[in-house]
Amino acid sequence: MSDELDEIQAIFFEECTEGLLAAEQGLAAMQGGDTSPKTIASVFRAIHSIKGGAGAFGHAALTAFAHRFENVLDEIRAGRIAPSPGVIAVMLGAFDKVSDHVAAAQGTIGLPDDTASLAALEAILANPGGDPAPVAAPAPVPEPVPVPAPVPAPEIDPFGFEPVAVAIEDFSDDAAEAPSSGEPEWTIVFAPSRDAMANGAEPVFVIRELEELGGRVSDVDATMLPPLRDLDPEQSYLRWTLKLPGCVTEDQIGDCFDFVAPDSGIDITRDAGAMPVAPHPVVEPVAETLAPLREPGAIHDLLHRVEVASPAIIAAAAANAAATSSPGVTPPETRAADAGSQTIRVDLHKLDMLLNLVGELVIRGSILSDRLSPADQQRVELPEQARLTREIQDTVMSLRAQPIRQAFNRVPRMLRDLTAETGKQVVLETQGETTEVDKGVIEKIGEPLTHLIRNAVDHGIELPEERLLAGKPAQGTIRLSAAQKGARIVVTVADDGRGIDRARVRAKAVEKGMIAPDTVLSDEEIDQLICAPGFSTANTVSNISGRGVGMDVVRSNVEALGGRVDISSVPGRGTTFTLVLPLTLAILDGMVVRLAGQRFVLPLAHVVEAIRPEPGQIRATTPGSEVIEVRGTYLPVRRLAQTFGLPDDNPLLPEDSLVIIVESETAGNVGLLVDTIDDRREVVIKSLEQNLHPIRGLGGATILGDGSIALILDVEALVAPVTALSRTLARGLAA
Amino acid sequence: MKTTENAGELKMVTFALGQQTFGIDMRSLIEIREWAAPTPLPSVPSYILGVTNLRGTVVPIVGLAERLGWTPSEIHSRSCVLVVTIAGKQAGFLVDEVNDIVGIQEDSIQPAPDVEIQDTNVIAGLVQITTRGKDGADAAATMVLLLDLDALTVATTAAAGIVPCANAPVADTAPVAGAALAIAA
Amino acid sequence: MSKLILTVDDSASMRMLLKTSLTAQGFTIESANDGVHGLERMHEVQPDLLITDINMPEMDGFELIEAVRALPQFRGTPILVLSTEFSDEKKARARSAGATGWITKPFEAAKLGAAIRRVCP
Repeated sequence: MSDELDEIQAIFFEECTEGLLAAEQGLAAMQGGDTSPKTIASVFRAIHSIKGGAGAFGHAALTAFAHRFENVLDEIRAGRIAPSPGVIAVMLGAFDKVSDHVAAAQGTIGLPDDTASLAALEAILANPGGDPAPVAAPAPVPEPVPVPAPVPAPEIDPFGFEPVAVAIEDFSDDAAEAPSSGEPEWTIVFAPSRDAMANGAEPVFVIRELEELGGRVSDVDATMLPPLRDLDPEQSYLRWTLKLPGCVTEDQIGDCFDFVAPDSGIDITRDAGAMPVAPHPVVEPVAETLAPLREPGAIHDLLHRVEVASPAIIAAAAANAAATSSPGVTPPETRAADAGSQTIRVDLHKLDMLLNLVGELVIRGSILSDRLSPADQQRVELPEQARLTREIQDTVMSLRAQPIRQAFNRVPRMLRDLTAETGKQVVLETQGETTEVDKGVIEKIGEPLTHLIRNAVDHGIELPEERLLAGKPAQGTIRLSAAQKGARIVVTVADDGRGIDRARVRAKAVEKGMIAPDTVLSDEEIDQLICAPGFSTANTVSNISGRGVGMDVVRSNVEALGGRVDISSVPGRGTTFTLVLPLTLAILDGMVVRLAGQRFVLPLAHVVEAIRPEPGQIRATTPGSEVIEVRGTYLPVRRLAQTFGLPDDNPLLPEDSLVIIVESETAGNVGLLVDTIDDRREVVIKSLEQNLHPIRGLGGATILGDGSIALILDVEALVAPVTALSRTLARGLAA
Repeated sequence: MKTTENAGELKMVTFALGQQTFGIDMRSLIEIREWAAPTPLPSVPSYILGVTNLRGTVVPIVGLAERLGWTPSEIHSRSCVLVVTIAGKQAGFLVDEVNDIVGIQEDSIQPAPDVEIQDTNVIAGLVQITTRGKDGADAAATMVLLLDLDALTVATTAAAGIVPCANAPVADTAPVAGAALAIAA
Repeated sequence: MSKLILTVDDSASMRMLLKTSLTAQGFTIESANDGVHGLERMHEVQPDLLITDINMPEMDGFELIEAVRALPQFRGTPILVLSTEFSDEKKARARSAGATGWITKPFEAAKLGAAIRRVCP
């Protein structure tokens, strides 16, 4: 295949991916009870498109299978087959096979064995009312599915040539020498239907085409022609009789009438007894036969009058046009509503560049603002500039942001395969699929998610008998959710299985020499051991799960994204893995504060108010613990400089410091003691974790206008109750 | 000395640290920067001196001497930072002085002997090079310790978290419970 | 001057295939990725011929053809349907909507060219 076609096929495969996604979503919806026409239509369209493209690129197996699947979908769409749970199950199986066929077409896997699935589809088609046998039942080898004709695998002919069996004589301009073929000639009577021209067709084209084959008009019957006042120029009233040389095949003649209206009169006969007539050159006969019609008073006049009449017609038409389609372009509101169906493919790299530029714009804006006098800073141009920059920033950010659903979509299929293989029963619940995440995150989170799901099924969820014995429902649940919390995306994979067997994990770690036998570890620390390289506790290893390299990869993948993995497990109840990921390149509205002389950034979203404490407003409760009294309530206070262990030669008295009240999810309102507030500005978040390990309490860094770095505070982590949970195990440092 | 690329040849950047000469594979080097005080980071081992802005990316600066278990380097006019890439991450190493770029044959690298370094496996090997004498003096043979940058990322037992108690010293990099923990990369 | 054809199909790969195939045969191609967009383009480029798919979201081929035919300036414009379907009822539906002809996918380049010239010489 040529390079160009390779490119186009590559796009076709991308479309297959999108189509498969749409189909899977539709099928999932149907499984969940939504059998509305719209949903069914979306599945049909997806499979139909895949089939169509597959045919064009010559993937016969895919085309054939998709065709059968499409048949079933069409019947459901038309209401002739009910989408019962059994039918939907068969379709889900068929969907998996289509996916495999697409992969095979791309060359990533071998051709799948679709005999069982095909048989199930055939069964549905043969027995529309009944409940189909389950797909898993081994089917006897069915007849080979008849590939519907015409589905040839055509090579797109680069030159557009097709040898046509036409006698050479037909193309000669020289009328005289055309030899007779000996076959009796054809007589064709063609009476286009009254509204033949309504569909943009022109009977004259047919006549011309016949003439190209060597025919000529021998007669025109104009008896049906009405008087001018009753004449509708868009209707056909004439009947032509043509003669064609006998060497022309009936097929060729038929072809000419391919697009003629069904109720036209077409009469093709071969005059057995007539003498063969040599074909005439193209031009003359037309002139001849039209001549009588051009006699004065007839068509010529007709045409002339039609021309004269036309300005009036045109004016009327224009008025119509103005009324129906002003302007010709869909008005903006409609367009906005249609915006959902219009997409454009963008090179991700260009988006990255755009994002960086926007980030720079924000920084420069800050610097500019710094250079202005306070009075000038208040001028309307500056906030307006900031507002515009912000709008650009939001829009650009949204370009890269996609619903995390894309990353979740491979899970249902994986789960189907896993449950089939392990004999466990698991149901999947998802939440927050519409949460928007940077596309880069979606791409990289797929593998970690896969490992976590596999682990949950392999190690977490117990076999049905075991679950029943434990008083749980035989069917396990895996809950997959995503939510945005401030500047982070939190993705959780939670199962209600047996939880992490800490004794076994610990024993294994000792066995592998990872820890000394007498080491004391907290529960959380033991949990984190499963993320260590080379760790695996599986007794039997399912061939999907692999050898416990999964968790190590999960953690390193997540950390490479600048995030972290938290594990929480309750023996007998289940395990929850929480992936905390940053929203890459975010721009944060922050408050620049000073701690021990060093600048930090506090996200404004958390800030409630700032207080200059009165003497005595801050009181100690227990050693190391302080509170501040604010309008009758006591809020805990954290001395951030101390929390961070920042060296401070000249600690300020509380009365000379500021307490910033922040609100947090985990600890309510808390006061943070800082030296001063510098200013409020928008900052671009730079990842700390890109080159370094995550540091609790920091949510990144930013580069200030003068090029220096200010660390961004992670409020949730700072206010979290102080426990051993805040310790984390050793992990690799960048240096 | 003109060095040409050929199979088995390695290009090395050599630098001085403490009393020794070290070298790293030039393919890891991103750039060499003048020393500028980095922004300190809380809750990190003391050999992480802080972070700095490298053309828009936040890069940690490591006191290499300290990392190897020696007394921290003193900053002077020839101190500089070697910015390297290790397994996709970037970091800057503070060194006393950058010497030269040298081509060596891979097969001339000898195994590392006992050197006074905490983790001996950060030394990939030893190689002998001939250094140009200063001011045209005679060339001298110098022993160069080849640093294994990947091994440098091996964790020690530093905890990376906020110390829970306000009065516990943060700079204490003493191992957390689980002292014998040494996870090989 | 070569004939201008507007192709409407929600599959980008199909649009590209058509463009490659037809441009090689001397036609100039414009395209749209759905019915609504197609209608807009009809006004903008005023092609000599419209080729459209049937199964498209938002506005399917039938609806597009009906909408185009409703406009006086396009009453005489030939319209070809290019679809993998081939049932008689669909074809009849297309005709009553105002289509000039129906071509089944997959198509051979030459046949498509011939069909086009048949309605748009």
